[in-house]
Amino acid sequence: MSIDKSPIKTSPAPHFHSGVTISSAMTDLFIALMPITIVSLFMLGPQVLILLATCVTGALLGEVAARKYKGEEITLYDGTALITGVLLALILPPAPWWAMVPLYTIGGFFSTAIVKEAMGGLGRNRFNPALSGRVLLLFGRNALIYMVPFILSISEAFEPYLHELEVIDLVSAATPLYAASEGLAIPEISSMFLAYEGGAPAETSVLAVLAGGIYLIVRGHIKPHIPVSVISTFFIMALIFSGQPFFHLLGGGLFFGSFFMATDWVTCPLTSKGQIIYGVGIGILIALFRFFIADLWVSPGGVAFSILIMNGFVRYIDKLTARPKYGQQRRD
Amino acid sequence: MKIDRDLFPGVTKLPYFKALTSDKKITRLDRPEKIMVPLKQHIGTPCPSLVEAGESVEMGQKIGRAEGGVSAAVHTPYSGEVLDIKEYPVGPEDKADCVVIDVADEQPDKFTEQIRDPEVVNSDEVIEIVKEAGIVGMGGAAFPTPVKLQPPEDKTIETVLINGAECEPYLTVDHRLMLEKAEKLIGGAKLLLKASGAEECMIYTEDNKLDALEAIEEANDDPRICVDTVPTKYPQGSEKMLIQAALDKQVPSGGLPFDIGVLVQNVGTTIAIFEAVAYDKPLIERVITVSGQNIAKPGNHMIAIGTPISHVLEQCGGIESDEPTLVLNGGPMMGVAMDDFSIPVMKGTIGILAIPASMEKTKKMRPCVRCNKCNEGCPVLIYPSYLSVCIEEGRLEEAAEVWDIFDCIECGICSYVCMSHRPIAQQIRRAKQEIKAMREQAAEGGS
Repeated sequence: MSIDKSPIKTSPAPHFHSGVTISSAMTDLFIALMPITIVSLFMLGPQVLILLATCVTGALLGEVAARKYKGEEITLYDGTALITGVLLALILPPAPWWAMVPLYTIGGFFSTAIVKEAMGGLGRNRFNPALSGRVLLLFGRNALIYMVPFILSISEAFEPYLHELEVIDLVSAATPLYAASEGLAIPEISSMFLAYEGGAPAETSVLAVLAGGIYLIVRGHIKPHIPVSVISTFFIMALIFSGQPFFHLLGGGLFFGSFFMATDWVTCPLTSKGQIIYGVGIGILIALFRFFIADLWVSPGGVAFSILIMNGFVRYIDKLTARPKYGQQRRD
Repeated sequence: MKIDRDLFPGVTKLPYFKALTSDKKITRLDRPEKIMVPLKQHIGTPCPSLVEAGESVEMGQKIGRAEGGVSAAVHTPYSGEVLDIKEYPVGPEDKADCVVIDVADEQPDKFTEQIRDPEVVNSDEVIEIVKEAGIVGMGGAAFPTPVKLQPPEDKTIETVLINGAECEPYLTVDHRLMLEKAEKLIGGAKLLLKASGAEECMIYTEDNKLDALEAIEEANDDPRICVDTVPTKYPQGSEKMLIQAALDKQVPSGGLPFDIGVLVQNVGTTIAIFEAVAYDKPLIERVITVSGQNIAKPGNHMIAIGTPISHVLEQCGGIESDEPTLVLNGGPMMGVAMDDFSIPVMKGTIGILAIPASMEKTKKMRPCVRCNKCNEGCPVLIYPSYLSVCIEEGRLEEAAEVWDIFDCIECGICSYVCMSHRPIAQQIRRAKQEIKAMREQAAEGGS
């Protein structure tokens, strides 16, 4: 009998697997980030490449260092550290290269080594690593503002560099939101939607972000609950509290944050109801930061702050919205 | 009435591979020289043997007596001589006393003529015949059918559901039975209505077997019986899921279908009931799908209980592949991989498959990334992702108390979709056993 010809294996059921792996999901995420990356390259130029290179290098180094330190296997092959680096790069504003190389590398390193690996490792970190890295760099930059007099007291020679970092005059070349707050000309709504040259790479085209987000939904990696609830909540708030709802809707990192950051599996709620509560919370917080405490120095990081704050509530939201199991459901 | 509701969550579409055997008529294989009939093929108490070594037995003779409330008699499928009664392996981790029979060269022609009119038997008689015939659920679980037909005094059965969903990949047993034995199926359905006292009977199949639906509709001459389809979706054939799709009702947690007035029977069981009543035929053979990419001749075969699986594989041309192969007893989602083919075909054996081991796409287990795919796909709406992490960290009590481990039906969807390659279903199966053992120990210690 030919049974013996073939090596017989045994294993526990089930004996099928869908074939979707963490790496294949990360590949999909990478594809989803392609449109916005390409548009930002065209709009902001080769600086975007330095941005990507520094953040990704920092993120990969951070993961390797932390896992070595913990004595765990290096798992760069799953693509999660790479994605964290790319996500971080897309939400940072381009800066002079001599500032990007050290600072943004540190940002990437911090994201994976501290926020992801030190706070539990893959799947267990409570806060979004890329957003945390962004906030760290924002704090750093704002800390610099207070240090300007001190630095200048050491030597006047630092002044041009501080100007280049835009910490002295604070008129960041660019983002439409800054332009508005400084009373400068507001860009066309249509150009903000299609392609706009200013701000972080993720802010250059709402259309490109949307394309990537829809791809993720179609591939089944995210559900529309979070982005839809964040964006619609914020839009309603903008209608009530600002005269330019569409401008606020398309300006800043709202779309990118809702589709790519707030939907991070590890740091968002599991339940559909929970995802809506979480999304509404983020929408309200973004509006709060933008319309009420815009004068505070945290406002450029409004989206990041809002998502990180809601990250902290995810476990409670999940607990509150746990679904009844089969056999306990009341049907009408 | 067309069901287009999508009542349990998830959209898990599996690769089905049913075309390998779905158009293959049920045939008989050559007789084996020796058979090994286990005295425990069902959930419940094992049967005491009624025969001794050296004794001659005749086809259909009862060789094991039903013992206690939950049990099912065992009969010999062939005439021959009892060689031995001894414990043999009947599954990878299972042993049972088996009656080994040397099959005679000449076999009588029995159970082919109708000896009883199913119209005239009454409810009690049906239950008695089913009991005598040793009928158990033939969809895989092998639960004694008479127990299901006699719910406790305070429960009444209103609806009989006949389960022809057959949601496991590869398997085409029920599909072929519905096509080829539609009249017997309707006959069995009428008997079930009689035995249970129910008012209506619904026969369900997944919407990938429309030819079966047509065949049954054509054979149906009873207004109390209706035929319909449910969406093709794994695990639609699970009792609880079928009840939900068909009746929009849920079996209470920890309860049984009769708690909500439902009796579910598999297509094969229903036909066996008809044959027991009309032909006085005990459950001595069943249809099995022999399939998989690595089997030389896939097909659907009527196989005598007790036939060694090695004989079945041999008759179907053996395994034809150089790549590593999984030989499964059952479907790929819930079936058991075996490497000892001496074990016999039993009443609950639904298929023998030889599939490439590469279908498992085995990879190293990674941490849960909360992608939520398992939770979204879980048909009983528990949280496999939390269970998996809980079990990994040894928090078994939490798994039982907080995350409802005992509601799991072990369908395997969670492992199938897990992108971290966590063996969630396997973790749950093992943890259930450990928790049960722990609780028993605690109970003993306390008394």
